[in-house]
Amino acid sequence: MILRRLAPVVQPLLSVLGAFVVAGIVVWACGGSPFEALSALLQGSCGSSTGLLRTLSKATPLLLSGLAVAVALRAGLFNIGAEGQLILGALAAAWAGHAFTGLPAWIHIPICLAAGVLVGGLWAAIPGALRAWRGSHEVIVTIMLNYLAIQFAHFLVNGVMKDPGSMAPATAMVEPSARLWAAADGSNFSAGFGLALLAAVGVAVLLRRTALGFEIRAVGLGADAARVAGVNVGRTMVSAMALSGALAGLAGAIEVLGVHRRYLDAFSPGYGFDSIAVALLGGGSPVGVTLSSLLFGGLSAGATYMEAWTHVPRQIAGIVQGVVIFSAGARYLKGRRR
Amino acid sequence: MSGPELAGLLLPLGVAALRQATPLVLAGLGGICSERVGIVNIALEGMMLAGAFTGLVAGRLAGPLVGVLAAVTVGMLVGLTHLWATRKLRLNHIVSGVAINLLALHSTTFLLRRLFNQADPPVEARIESMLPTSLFTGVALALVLVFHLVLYYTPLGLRIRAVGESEASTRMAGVDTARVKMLGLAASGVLAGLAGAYLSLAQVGRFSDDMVSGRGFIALAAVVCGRWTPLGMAAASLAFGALDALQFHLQGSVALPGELLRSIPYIATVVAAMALRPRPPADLGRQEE
Repeated sequence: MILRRLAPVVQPLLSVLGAFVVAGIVVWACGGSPFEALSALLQGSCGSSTGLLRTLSKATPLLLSGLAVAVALRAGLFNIGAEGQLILGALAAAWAGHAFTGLPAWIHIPICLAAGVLVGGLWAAIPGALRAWRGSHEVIVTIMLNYLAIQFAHFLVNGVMKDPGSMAPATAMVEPSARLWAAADGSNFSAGFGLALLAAVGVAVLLRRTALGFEIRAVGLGADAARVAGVNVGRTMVSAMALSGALAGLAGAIEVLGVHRRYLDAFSPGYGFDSIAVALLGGGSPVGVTLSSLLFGGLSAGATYMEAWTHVPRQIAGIVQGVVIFSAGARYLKGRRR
Repeated sequence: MSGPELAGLLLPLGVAALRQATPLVLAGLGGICSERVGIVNIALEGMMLAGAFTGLVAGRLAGPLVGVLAAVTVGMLVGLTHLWATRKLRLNHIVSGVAINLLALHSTTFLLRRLFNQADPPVEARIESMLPTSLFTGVALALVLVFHLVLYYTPLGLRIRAVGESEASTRMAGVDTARVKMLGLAASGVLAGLAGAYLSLAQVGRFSDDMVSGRGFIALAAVVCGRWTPLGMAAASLAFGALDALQFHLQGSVALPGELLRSIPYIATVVAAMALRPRPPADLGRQEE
């Protein structure tokens, strides 16, 4: 009984610990020193103020896209498409950032964020609608839409949206009025982190205190029961996916306005895919997702530093992530409700 | 255009299409093996990647045939891991697939750096002695026929289909469903591993980061478009392969952007998922309770 009550907290902690042990063994087996690697990892992620800020900046897109996956998960849907939604949201924000000129920042920034939110939400509504009304599996459709989004963005940014003055496949820089405040120490920390925290609070309120949030949770617990209770299951699924895509689109928009200042082809190192690990480790709750995005943000910030100092390839962070998904997603206790 | 001219244009295109379709057909058969026994398999991508990497490493040490054998073995182990995770750990099938794909991607890139050199991109490992692609293509096409016959004309095929439709009732009928599932997932991994070996040992002769680049997902799309049948899946794979070959052929010569042609398999899959309402095996994705 006690084991069951503690499981939601203990299992994530144990799975993170287990993943670090596995990664340590891998490093050791490849002739490295796991303790040196770990200390470099800690030094790089939270050993200095720049390191800490870098952790927070890496956590920002992970938090938002992790929330995106979590919202869909609460409705019983797998949004594997956060990557595509993030990319298109970023592209939309970059467009709004340089297409409008002469606006004050307090109007321009919200317009750019709204563009990202809108495009990400609409893109994610497609698999939601196909699932709700045609029964197509959202996993297959979101995987395909990811590739479509990547190809489409690649096409635009090498063609009509390409900045003629730039060699790289990228849009023009956004206007200064569309840029979020960012730290000048090279950590890429920006005001976007605050926006991401606000979004987490917003999602928590929405899930707990609003009718839509209640319907989303009801559909996630059992679509048939929810239907009998009078919930419009189809509409709720579409709303949940649109909301999910909106959050992923916001993640992309913030990366553009706060970090890159333009849309750069293939800028995302896979935030949308990492977000699946973030959401699962966080158990689908906004608080959990926030904590796990900080963990993975630190891992990502520390891994680059570790690679430079100990020559342990930074991909070890990805191995930690994979093991975490395995162990956090497992249900060891028979009959436990999720 | 005269007959010989047309043939001179179409023949190389056809050969290229077959080359592109071969890994899709092999991995697609793997997808059928797994999904027909009720296990959703988005891990095909990771199995192919693991196979491609192991094949190349073992191939460099002991020759390409040993490489194929190693790729197939590792593929099978990954397939059985997927089964173990979904049945024993009671992981959601999608979650297990995502984890396997992540682990395969990051451990192959990690090992590539550790085993071959320290430099960051471009990192790749090469192999001198390659296998002929036609060998794999022949095997793939023959296997499609074999799978069609096994699935629809043998008692084993009936059991496989029955497990996918309803494991509980099949168990009631006295079939050892756990063994059927194990066979399905082992075969799934073997075939996806073989598809990976084709990429690294026959098609390009090297391994580079994320070299499967979505082919596992396209193979899964071919399974869906082909309605979980070997013949339908093979037809969809050939169509996707032909598009890929065409895209390569037209590159630079036509105003049509390559991105559009490359997008057609994805659009086709979304349209198929919408318009055909393909009916998956009824027990697909069912969780152990």
